[in-house]
Formats: sequence, C-alpha cells, structure tokens
Amino acid sequence: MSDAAMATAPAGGAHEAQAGADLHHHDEEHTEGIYTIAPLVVSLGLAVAATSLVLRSPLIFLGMGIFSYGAWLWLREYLPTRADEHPVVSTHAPFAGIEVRKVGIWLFLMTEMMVFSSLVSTYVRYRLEAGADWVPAASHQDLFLGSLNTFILLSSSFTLATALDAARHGKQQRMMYGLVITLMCGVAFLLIKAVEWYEMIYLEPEPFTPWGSVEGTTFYVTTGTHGGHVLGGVIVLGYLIYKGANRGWGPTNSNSIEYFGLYWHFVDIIWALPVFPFFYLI
Amino acid sequence: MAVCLLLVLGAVAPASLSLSGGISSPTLPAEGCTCHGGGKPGAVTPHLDGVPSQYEPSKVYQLNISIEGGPPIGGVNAGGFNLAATGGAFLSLNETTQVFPSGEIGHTTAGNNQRAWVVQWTAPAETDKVVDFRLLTNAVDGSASPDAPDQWNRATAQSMGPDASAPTTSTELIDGPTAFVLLAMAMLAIVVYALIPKGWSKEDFYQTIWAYLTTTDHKRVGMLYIATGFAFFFLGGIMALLIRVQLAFPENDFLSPSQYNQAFTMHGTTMIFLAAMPIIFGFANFVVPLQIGARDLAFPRINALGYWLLPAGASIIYLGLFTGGTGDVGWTGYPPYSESPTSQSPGTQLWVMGQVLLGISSTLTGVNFIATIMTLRAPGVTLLRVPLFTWSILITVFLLLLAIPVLTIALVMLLLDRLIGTAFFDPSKGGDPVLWQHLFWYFGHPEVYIVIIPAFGVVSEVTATMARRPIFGYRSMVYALVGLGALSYIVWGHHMFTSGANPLFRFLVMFTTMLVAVPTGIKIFNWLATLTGGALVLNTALLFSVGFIATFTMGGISGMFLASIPIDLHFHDTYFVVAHFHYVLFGGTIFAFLSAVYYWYPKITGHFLNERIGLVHFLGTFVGFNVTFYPMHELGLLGMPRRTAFYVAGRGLEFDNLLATVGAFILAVSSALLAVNIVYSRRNRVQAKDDAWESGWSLEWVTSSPPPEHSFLKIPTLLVQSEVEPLPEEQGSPEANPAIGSGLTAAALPKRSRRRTKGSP
Ligand code: HEM
Ligand SMILES: [Cu+2]
Repeated sequence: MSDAAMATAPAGGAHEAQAGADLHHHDEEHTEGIYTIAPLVVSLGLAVAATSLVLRSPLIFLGMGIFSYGAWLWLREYLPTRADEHPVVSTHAPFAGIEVRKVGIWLFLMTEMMVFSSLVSTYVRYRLEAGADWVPAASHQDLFLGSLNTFILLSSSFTLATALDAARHGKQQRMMYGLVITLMCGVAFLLIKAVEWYEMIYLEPEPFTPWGSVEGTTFYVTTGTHGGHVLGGVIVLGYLIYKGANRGWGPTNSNSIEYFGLYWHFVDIIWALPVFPFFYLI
Repeated sequence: MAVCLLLVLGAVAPASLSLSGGISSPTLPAEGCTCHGGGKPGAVTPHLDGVPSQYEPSKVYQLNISIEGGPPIGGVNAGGFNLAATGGAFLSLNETTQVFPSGEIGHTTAGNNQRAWVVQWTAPAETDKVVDFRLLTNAVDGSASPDAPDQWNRATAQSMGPDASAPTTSTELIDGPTAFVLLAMAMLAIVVYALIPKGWSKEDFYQTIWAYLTTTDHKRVGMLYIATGFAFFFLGGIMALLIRVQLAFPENDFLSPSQYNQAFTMHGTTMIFLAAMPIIFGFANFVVPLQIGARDLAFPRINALGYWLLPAGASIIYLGLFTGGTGDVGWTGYPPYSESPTSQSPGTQLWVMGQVLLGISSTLTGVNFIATIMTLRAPGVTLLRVPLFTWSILITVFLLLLAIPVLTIALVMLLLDRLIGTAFFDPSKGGDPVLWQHLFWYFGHPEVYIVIIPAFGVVSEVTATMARRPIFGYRSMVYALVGLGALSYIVWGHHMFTSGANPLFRFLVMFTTMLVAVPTGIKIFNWLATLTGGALVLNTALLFSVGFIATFTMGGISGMFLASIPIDLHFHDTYFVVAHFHYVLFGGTIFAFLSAVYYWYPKITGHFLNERIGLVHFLGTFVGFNVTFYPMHELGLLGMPRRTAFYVAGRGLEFDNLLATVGAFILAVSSALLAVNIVYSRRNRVQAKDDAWESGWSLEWVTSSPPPEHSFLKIPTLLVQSEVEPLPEEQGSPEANPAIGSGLTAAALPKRSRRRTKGSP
C-alpha cells in the first residue's frame, strides 16, 4: 500500500481504508483495452428498424438484419471472455461480495418494475374512472387458457431453478433437461397467448381489439409487453442452451444461469401478480 | 455514419412521406367538414390541376379538384375537400361548392356525393406574391360503417407572381432560415477542421476515427458524449436564434407558424435530451471512474452501446426534416394535440420513436453508473468520502433509473395510438389525455433534476478547489442531494395546476414543491460558505460557478412563485415559465458545465484553456444570458403566452422581445468563443500538471493529465487526513501561476487548507 497513490478525502472520517492486494481483482482485468464495433452495429440496426417501423417501410428487415448481425458479433466477442470464471466482485458495502453483473441485473429489473408499474397504473386509473361501465377483458376470454399459461410459467421457474441446481452440482444432463424444458414452457406460453389473442380478435362475434376501446388497449398492450419479455427470455434461453451444449455450465461458472433466472422469475412474478389477476380474474 | 445512412433511408423510403398532415381545418364549419374522425391518412391521392406556376395579376383561373382512389362509393357522402390559398380569391361556380367566411373554399352538402369539383380562383393584383395552396380531401364510402373509415390526404401547390422572389419550400424548417443554418454549419466545419492536428496523415486520421468508433474506454466514450452534446447544443442554439428572430418584432413573418412550432419543439428536445444530458454523461463518463479510482465502468460494452444509441435516436428525431416537417407538438407532446388529425405528420412519429431509443440509452447508462459507483470504488473510497460530483451522478442515475422507463413506455403508448389506433390518450375511445400529463411529468420533473443535480456536483468541486479548502458541510451536501432526489418524485403535479386536478392533490403538490427550497437553500449556503474565507483563485471555471450560484438562485425563486397555485394559475404557459426554466437550465446546468469544461479540460487534454478568452467568454455569456432571459419575466407578467409565433403591436411587448433577441445574439457570439478558445489553446499549449489546479481534492488529480490508457497505472488508495503524515509546514504559497488563474491568487494561503499528500501514481 505504501506505493499506492494517496489523496485526502474531502471529509475527515474514521479510519476505514483497509486496502489489500486481494481487493483489486479488477486490476488484472481489462488490462487489454476492449475494442468492439458491435455496439455501433447494434445501434445502427435499431435505428434503421425503428425508422422503418414508423414509416412503414420494408427496410425494417434490413434493420433487423443489421441488429442481429451486431448482436452476433457481440456474443462472439463476449463468449471467450469467461466472465463467469473471473467474476468482478464488489468490495464495498452494501454489495460487498456480490458480483457486479448481479447488481446490474437487479438494477435492470428496477427499470422493468417502472415499466410495468406505468402500464398497471394506467389500467387502474381507467378502470376506476370507468366504474361500472368497464367491460373487463375477462368477459371475452377463455379462463382456461389463461390459467394454463399461469401454470406453465410457474412451472418453468421451477425447471430453471432445477437446471441451476444441476449445474452447480455438475450434473450436465439434468441441467440441459432443465434448460430445454424451460425453453419449451416459454414457447408454449407464447403459442397459447397467440391462440387466445387470435380468438378474441378474429373469432369472437364481437371482436375485442387493441384499437377498439381502453379495455382492449390496456389488455393487449400490458399482456403484450409481458409476452415480449417472455420472448426475450426465450431467446436468451436459446443462448444458454447453445453455450451449455458446447462447453457446458459447471459448478464454477454457472452464475449466468442464476442471473438469467432472476430475470425469468421476475417475468413470472409480474404475470402472477398484477397481470393475471387484473386482466383475467376481475 | 448512422446519420448518412438514415439520410439515404429518408430519401428512398417511399409513399408514406407524401402524407404530410391531415384533412381537417379548425376553421371549417360543420357541413364542410371533411373529417369524420377515426380515419387514417390513407391511399387516396388528391389532385389540384390548373394552378399556374406563375400567375398573371388579377387573371381568373379555373381549378380542377379531384380525388383518386378511395373506397367504393356506397352512399351520398362520397367525398369532400377544402382548399385554402394564401393570396387571391376563390369563387364558387355552382351549388356543389361554397366559399367560407375565412376565404377557403369547400364542398357543400349538395356536392358531397362526388369526388371531383371545379372552382375559380382570381390571382392577386400584386405582382410579387407567392401564393401557397393547401388542398385537403377526404373520401368516404357513405355507409357510415366503422369498418370503412375515411381515407384522406392533402396536397399543396404554389403559384408565383412575375416579380416574386425565389420560391419558398413551405412546410419544411428550411428556407429563409436556410442561409442561417448553412452558415452556422460552415462555422462548425471550420472549427472541426481547425482541430485536426497538423501533420496528420490519412492513416492517422482513419486510425483515430476507427479507435473512437470501436472504443469502450470510459474516457473516449466520455469525449464522444461531450462532443456530441456540444454539437447539439450548437444546433439547438441555432433553433433558438430562429425563434428569437421571429419574435424580435410583432407580427413578424420570418418563420411560418408551422416552422415556428417545429423550431421550438426541436429546440426543447435537442437541448434537454441531445445537449444537456449527453454533456452531463460525457463528464460523468470521464470523471466518475477517475474519482472513485476505477479503471472503467462496470459494463464498458454497454456503455458504448448507450452512447451509440444517442446519435441513432438523434438522427431519427431529425429525420423529420426530410419527411415534410419535424415533430411540432412541443417537447412535452401533450395529447390530444399530439394525436389529433392535424398532427399526423411522420415527423412527429419519428420524434417519438427517436426518443424511445434515447430512453433505452439512458436506462442502460443509469444501470451502468449505479453498478459502477456502488461496486467498483477503490480501497478507502467509502460512500461518505466519495467526491460530490460522483455523489451527484449517483443521485442522478437513480432518478434516471426510475423516471426514464416511465417516459419510454408513455412514448410507446403514444406511438401505438398514432400507428395502430389504440385508445390510451384518445377520449373518443375512453382514453384520457390527462394521463399523458401525469406520466410525462412523473418523468419530467425528475428529469429537470437529472439535469440540475450534476450541475450541483460540478459547482461543489469547483468552488472547493478554487477556494483551496474542502467543501463546507460535505455531509449536509450529500443529504441535501438525497433529499432533492427523493422530493423530485412527489412534485410532478405542479406542472398540472391548470389541468383540473383534484384540489387536495394540488395542495399536496404545492406543499412538497415548496419543500424543495430547503435542500436547495442548504446547498447554496454551503457554496457561499466554502467561498467565504477561502483563498480564491479567480479563474474562468470559478467565475462560471459563481455565475451559476447567482442565476440559479434567481431561477429557484421564480420557481417558488410558480409553485404557488394562485400565482401559477396566471403564469402558467406564459413567458414567466420560460424565464424560470431558462434561469435554472441555462443559468444552472449550462453555466455549471461550462465551468466543468474549464475545470476538467486540463485533465482531459493535458493543457489549459486560455484564461483571457475565458474571461470574455464568461462575461459575454453572463451578460447575454441575463439580457435574453430577464425580460421574459416581464413578458410573462404582461401575459405573453409561450409557444405562439406572433404577438400584436401596441401591448407593450415590443421592447422586451427585441431586447431578448439582442441578448440571444450576444449569447451566441460569446458561446462561439469557447470554440475559439479550444482552437487557440491547442495551438498555444500551456501544459498542465497532474494536479492541474494545485489544490484538487479528489482522485482524478492523482493520475496523469491526460490519464493513461487504463486511467491509473496503479489503483490508488484514498486516505483521510488523519491517516496521512501531515506536511511539516507548507512550502510557502505557490507562486502566482497565470495559467490557473488571473486576479485574486492569494499571496497568503491559509496553511490549514493545504494538508494533503500524494505519492506518484
Ligand atoms: C426551487 C426549485 C423549483 C421550483 C419550486 C420549480 C417550480 C416549477 C413550477 C411550479 C413549474 C410549472 C410552471 C407552469 O408550467 O405553470 C416549473 C416549470 C419548469 N421547471 Fe421548475 N422549479 C424548480 C426548479 C427547477 C429546476 C432546477 C429546473 C431544471 C434544471 C426546472 C425546470 C423547469 C422546466 C423545464 C419547466 C417547464 C416545463 C414546461 O412546461 O415545458 N425547474 N417549475
Ligand atoms: Cu417540475
């Protein structure tokens, strides 16, 4: 510590500095500067896709292509970095001992909370304003499909937890089963959702559409946003399975599964708590 | 690069670009109304034939109007039109058309069963007029069924007198003002050119560009942010000048009302999202990791992504320029205005979409900074030893994290309403426009704190360093920041006092808003206490910070006025509000970050900015600022509404408006001095030491100027005074150093303030 640089803190305080060589893991990290074009390509793709969406131009496919290429570049560069084997761990309270990526996921979930709170409070506001005039989405749906979906999603949280547990204990095959079943659950959820939507929009004698009324709008946009999150999760699951099949997740490096699990359970809880009861039960 | 591609895209993207605007005109009487609501600009093509490109004065022309396409005719209401011209007079030839009192011509009930009409137009007697025609058409199938909505569209034409001067490209933001904008762009190009080092080969050039395109280094990303932010500051400034020129005289016609709407919308959006926030996050990127002793942010790649989404979003927002007009609904984008048929231009859609991308960018940045500050601090950097700039960024990103997603989702709702007709803010389907106001301001008020809190951080750093003593009341500063952050979430209703909210809600909001004065006051007193009795080094950085304290305090006081409901009922949407938020945004955020530029420039580049040019820059900015914005208080008291393109003569508004315009030009010229200074001091380098101001308190002054590629050769350890061997006796006062300050460099520095030790990094 003697040759470490020092400066005085702005406020006088108790002796708290207890530096040690072991606290500096991120010292050795990043000694090679990271250069990557992937973020630029991803943004470019998003920009083209977003513009084309607004202008209703077929160039949206070009945009999605560029975006996917960028995402692929990103993964290709990121995969060999083995963030899992060399985690950067916080040394300071309140996150002492926790990996930085995990903190990142928690913070990200906070922003997701805000997204869903906005949607749900929109719903609550309109529902309260309309009072008895409200025609609940529940009156249009098949409660069976909704309940089935709840069951599927809850089960998938369980299978994902199983996969993590298996990975931690080095049971490769069980882990792969867990991941694949989780993925299948996600896909099943989305398919059922599609059937449900299709029925309501096209098969009902009195169609229940996103553009017809606030009831429809809040229902489709909220459950749609949730569905989008499931879709995103399914894509990441695809990546986890791919990586699992190639190098395998082992006891030392399965943190990625845990962190993805945080997201997946969150999506699950959002469905189980506000979305399902608000839009299917009452 | 993203910009170029998008320009190409804008040029080739088809069809929808011609659908600029909608059908209804607010002046139409009911029977002539061609807008049946609910419809969308659709597949019809309006034709207006017979308009001469050059008219002969007073000659009578026959105009043929027709609609091509549209649904099959299934009833008496087949189609309608409305034609307006900025000169000459219309005449109805038969019972199928009628001239309205406004001078416009449209169909009658008798003429509602057809899709072609013939009318007469008499050209003006003047020889030098440019007449713009605006045709709105609507085709209906007559069945009144909701499944067969109206299809409507609009067309324009132009006719010039023999002596008329060059044609104007009506609805776009460029024409008379074009020269203005081009001139400014040329200036920017010259500055950029002047900054390219002498003796650079092409390879050097491409290598540097490539390094910046692919970088994830927090210092480089920070520089990209800062450069982008200042470029947009410049662009937003041009917009502001256009507005001020228009308002310099009563009933001026420099800008058309539509151009004016675009100008203030783009000005506001640019300044908040594309100038202030990028400049803030640029400095945060550069300085925060240095201040906490980290090599980089927690997620460097995501940081780069956050940056690149900025030019992406910005290009989308500005793409509207090439689709017949940018967004024109104000930076607040209130429905129903932002959803009504009159605002169907793709420019507004693009404006919304671009902001969605910016929202994603800010969210990523927020996550990244919190993770970094909470987990990557060097040994010894405990939370209550973190420098105040980093604290301010921490609070800011917390606000960002909780506020930006709300805006993003609200924008998505607006976009869905506009694109597929969902009902969120559409009262005809049970939606509620006031909900937008709640969502927007739930984000919007924290947003104004997102841009001011980092400014507090900067001023705290600068005053402490230049007064050569630690900041007064460090802990109270931290708690005040936390308090401000928390309060900013429960005051958003003060933007909605006139929106008919529940009186109890309004009262609570008024109360919480006034509470904001407490932490704000604490901060102001602490800065003053830091300066009082310090050994001041009077230089540009300090001057801007002191300027900040003065102007920001005024803005806070006018904020207190506005927070009071009875007063706000009168002041809302007047120039008083404009004065208020410019005192806090320009006099606050921009002053503070100009201070930051002078303060951290030596750390970023290794050399100082010139102090003499700096002094002129500060004086010009300070004077120009007050001349521009002070009169706006008075204009507001006189009742001048904001966001209107004209005011009438004879109501006492002329002088203040002219003064504000003059001030705006002073401001513009003195802002240009920053560019001059950068070029000048690059050519006449005054090298800076590691601790450039010879009294920096935080870890960024420990590493070299500019910092090495990995920011620190060795991660530093922060020790508090009691842990450091006190210096035996200060080696006298430092010699007066003209590079770091003119004026008051204290001959006798108080010795107690110089207790610090550092090893070489
Ligand atoms: C002492 C603290 C402050 C108080 C009490 C306050 C109060 C208010 C009130 C009541 C309004 C609404 C006026 C109206 O529309 O009728 C307002 C508008 C505004 N304030 Fe503040 N304010 C304060 C500080 C700030 C700061 C620090 C900023 C930004 C850096 C800011 C930026 C704005 C902006 C941009 C608007 C106008 C928004 C718009 O309508 O476009 N304010 N302020
Ligand atoms: Cu506010």
